[in-house]
Amino acid sequence: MLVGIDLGTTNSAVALWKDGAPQLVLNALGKELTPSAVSIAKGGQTWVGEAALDRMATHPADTVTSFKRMMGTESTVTLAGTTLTPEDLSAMVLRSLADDVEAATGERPTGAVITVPAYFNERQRRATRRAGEIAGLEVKRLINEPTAAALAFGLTDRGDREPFLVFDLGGGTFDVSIVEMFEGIVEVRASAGDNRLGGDDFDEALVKLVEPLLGNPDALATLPADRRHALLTLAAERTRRALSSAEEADFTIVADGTPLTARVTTEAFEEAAAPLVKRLRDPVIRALRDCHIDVKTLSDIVLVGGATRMPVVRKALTRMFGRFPNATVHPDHAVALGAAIQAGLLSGGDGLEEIRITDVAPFTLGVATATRDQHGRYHDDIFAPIIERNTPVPVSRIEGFRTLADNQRQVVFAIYQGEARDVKKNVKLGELTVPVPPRPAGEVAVDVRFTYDTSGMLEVDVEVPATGMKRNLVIVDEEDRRSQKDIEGRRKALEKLKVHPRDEAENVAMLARAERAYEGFTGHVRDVIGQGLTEFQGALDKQDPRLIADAREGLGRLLDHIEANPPL
Amino acid sequence: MSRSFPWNRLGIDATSDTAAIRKAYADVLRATNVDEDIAGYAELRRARDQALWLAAQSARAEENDGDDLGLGDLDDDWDEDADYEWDDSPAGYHPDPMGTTPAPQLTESQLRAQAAWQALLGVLYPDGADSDEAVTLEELDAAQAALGVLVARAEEADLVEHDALDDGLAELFARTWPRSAPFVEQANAAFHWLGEAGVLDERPALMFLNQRLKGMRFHEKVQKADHPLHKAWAELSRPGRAGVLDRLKVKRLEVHKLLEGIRTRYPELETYLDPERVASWDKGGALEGQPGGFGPAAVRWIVILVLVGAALARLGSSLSHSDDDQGAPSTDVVAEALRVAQADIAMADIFGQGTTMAAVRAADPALADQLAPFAGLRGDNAGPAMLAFVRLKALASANVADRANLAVRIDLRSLWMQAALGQSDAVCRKVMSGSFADVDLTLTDKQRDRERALLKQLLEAKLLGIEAKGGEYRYSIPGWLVGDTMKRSGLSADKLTAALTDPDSPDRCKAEAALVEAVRAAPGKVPLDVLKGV
Repeated sequence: MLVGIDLGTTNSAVALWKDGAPQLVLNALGKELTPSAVSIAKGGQTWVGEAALDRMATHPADTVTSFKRMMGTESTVTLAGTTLTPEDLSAMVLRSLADDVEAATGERPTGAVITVPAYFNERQRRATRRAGEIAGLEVKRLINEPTAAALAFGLTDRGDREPFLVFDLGGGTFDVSIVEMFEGIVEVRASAGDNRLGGDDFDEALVKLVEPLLGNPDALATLPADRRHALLTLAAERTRRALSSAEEADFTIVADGTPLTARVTTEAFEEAAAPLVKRLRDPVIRALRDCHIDVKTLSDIVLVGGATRMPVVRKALTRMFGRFPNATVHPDHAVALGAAIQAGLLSGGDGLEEIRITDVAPFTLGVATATRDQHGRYHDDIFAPIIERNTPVPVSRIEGFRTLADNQRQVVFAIYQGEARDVKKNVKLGELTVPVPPRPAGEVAVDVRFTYDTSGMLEVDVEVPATGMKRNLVIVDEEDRRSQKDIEGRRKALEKLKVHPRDEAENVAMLARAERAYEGFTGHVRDVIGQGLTEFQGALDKQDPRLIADAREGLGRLLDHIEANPPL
Repeated sequence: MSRSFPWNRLGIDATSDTAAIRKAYADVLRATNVDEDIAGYAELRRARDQALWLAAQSARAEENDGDDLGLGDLDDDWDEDADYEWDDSPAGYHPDPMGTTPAPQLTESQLRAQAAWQALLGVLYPDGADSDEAVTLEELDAAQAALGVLVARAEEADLVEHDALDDGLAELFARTWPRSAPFVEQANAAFHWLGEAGVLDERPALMFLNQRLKGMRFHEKVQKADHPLHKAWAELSRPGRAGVLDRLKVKRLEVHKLLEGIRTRYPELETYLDPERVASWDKGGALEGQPGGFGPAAVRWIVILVLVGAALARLGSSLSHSDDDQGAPSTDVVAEALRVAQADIAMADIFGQGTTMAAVRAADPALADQLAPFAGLRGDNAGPAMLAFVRLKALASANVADRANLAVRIDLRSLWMQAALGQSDAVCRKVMSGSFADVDLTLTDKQRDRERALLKQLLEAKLLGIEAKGGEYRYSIPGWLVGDTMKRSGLSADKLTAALTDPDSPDRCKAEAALVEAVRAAPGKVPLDVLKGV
């Protein structure tokens, strides 16, 4: 079975193509969204999703979120003595989603379509693919998030659509795609983005704004740094959500039993977020320029991603486009639903025979070259593009180069991805060396062919016509070959971690939530939560399913009530 | 049925019906497996785009033939826009570039922006003409205020107007430079111009302005005492000629680095320097014409110290030791004949078929004398010992060789390093230090042939018999060569520096081999001291 997965910075979701429509699969807690959070305690006890997120406040050192931002880098996280790569952490989320599908359908998914930000580079895509493999899923295709959202948006009525713009601002990444639909063809015209901009950055801006206003800095200073950061970030996210529906909201944290609070107005938040809002403009302009489409002729501005709920973002968009954006698709669900449509397409799902998707390469791909200027000065590290960004994929281009020095024995092609003239500012993907016959400078020609396929895999062929010498490099393979062995190893290592049985998930999540709430309140309220917690633990000890269910429900109602009417 | 491109690819007759074109494209696309027919897909896209363009052309022609719907006027407007070149009307800013709103309906803030634009133009083009004069204080205030209004307008404007302001200001400032200098930072803060610096499709006006912006920032930084080039800057801005004492106080390299950098990157900054001072430094041995130069390339210069005599001394001691071992040379006639034959075989092995000891003596008597004691070595030892000795002498020939022969020597080094690299790190390190005597360097037949030819060249140039001097030898590798070596070795700048300067570095062999190759690739360009040192 093939499923579609939105592996997000903040939340993830899984959907499948069923009965001619994409359908979301609920997790063990009955929710569509599973927070992309992992927590591990000493001894290997592991939490994924909601429960892990709740442990963020109580056990910040053991818990990690937003690891999607580390994908494609060498950074690792150590939780309770276990060192994990961002791929490992993503794999744990993916596995939990696969568990949910198995529970819902009785069948374990074997393959998946996983979404990635359109502006993810080659390395980040490779890392995502590996995460899927570690989770035991064959990654049939990586599809760009705005493309998936466009599918979900456009296939509701299947009518033709003039070019529209998908504005996808998630928890950690920002993408813009311009998409057109006609005769069942979904055609991405251009994509641009910023893979370091998302809701997380707005939280950070809010923390910076509020921290000096909280008063009693001593109480805050007593907290260890990671705990202070976790509490502030969580409170910022709550406040940010509250500001989506109110003119002002209280930013509240409890530091070591001392409640600290500050009132934030929409205006103050907008000012704090202004530098971020400014960064939304450039990718939009770039995408429009690249496909030569006039902003006035766009038929719609489609909002996707949780962060587009923020009024400050919507306001900026309304100003930018001179009209109101379209908020009809569910900002958190559209990407997973689109991924399920792609999964349906790949497995020949009913009702999708007519649909075809064409996408573009998001970055310019090329090689490093050197040249001599008219003064005989030698300039190296100059980027020579071979495939320009926003070229429809698959695509295959050939470019000729010549030797630079007399009797040069070999030519080294370093392959880069990016938009800077100086290759050092771009991402290096690999290197290829080809021997050439010794001749005077410029007399030996070398042909370089770049082939970029629909999944975003780049293949490079180099040929020296004078000797017939050929070299080939499949960029994805190179790294995969090295990692193929350790994928199996990582999978085994992760299996050693003790994930709670699925039927305990609700209890585990409730415990984590109650513990977080206990920490988050003071005085009488804290006592009440403590009582509820003790009762629930008592019920768990008795191992009577009915007793447990009652206690859980009671505690849940209590927490709902308290959180809806905070006493502060 | 014969249709021509693009219609044959789409499988339809020529039409101006865009819906029909799209449908045809969709049908062909559905029948194509794009991953397997990449060229076909590209051609199909091209056919579709061309068909749509043809359709648009014929539609336009029809419209122009029929009623005049005002499109002709629109075309005129566009043409006028295109004429906005460098002449009278510098850069345009229309609050409503699409021309969709009639003028009277411009908002108040748009009208304010328009007035501010005029004010800015007034300052930058005093009396309506270009000027190289600096702005006065009043003009500065007025223009800054006007720019403030325009920036504020851009913040609240839609994409199109924001874009127009961004482009318009960039063009205006680029054209009115240097008068516009005081305003560029302010505009950069609003439009992130520097964020576009170095991007492939950087706008030409920004390419110019960003370079100036970087120059201004460099100017600011270089005046602070902690800037690495501060001393050189202070020296060059002092009035008058530089005396001997001044030259001692500042590093020559830094002064030239600064001058070169300013001239290639920020020529406008040279006006801050004292012309007489600069001229006196220019005369004192300029680095003019040196490849590479400023910035990252020059920062990467590596200074290397090699001990030349060490291996020679070792070889010498091992030789005298063997002499003792051997005792007095035999006077036996048969043994003597054998020794001569052995030496001839060894010479043929070293310099190639046909080279006897007599030939070596004829070419370079000094070498023959030096080789004589080896002939006394027992049995098989003589040949390898002589080869090791000759190889070492070839390495040591750097002291006296000219450029052509230095190139031969580098070829030899390359040959040895490549072979050693293929063997093991230990072998490679021995070869690097010239310890040929206690290492088994395996060469293929082809490599041996090449080695013989190269050694023979050195022999004929009488370079092998020259007494090698020991001692320290210091040379610096210029930045461009470091860059090339980095590329060849795949090592980072730091790792490469460590590898070339620290004998215990694990990358030593790789780095040295890459350096040798880099030198070989550009023998004419490499400074002589590097050519001798490598």
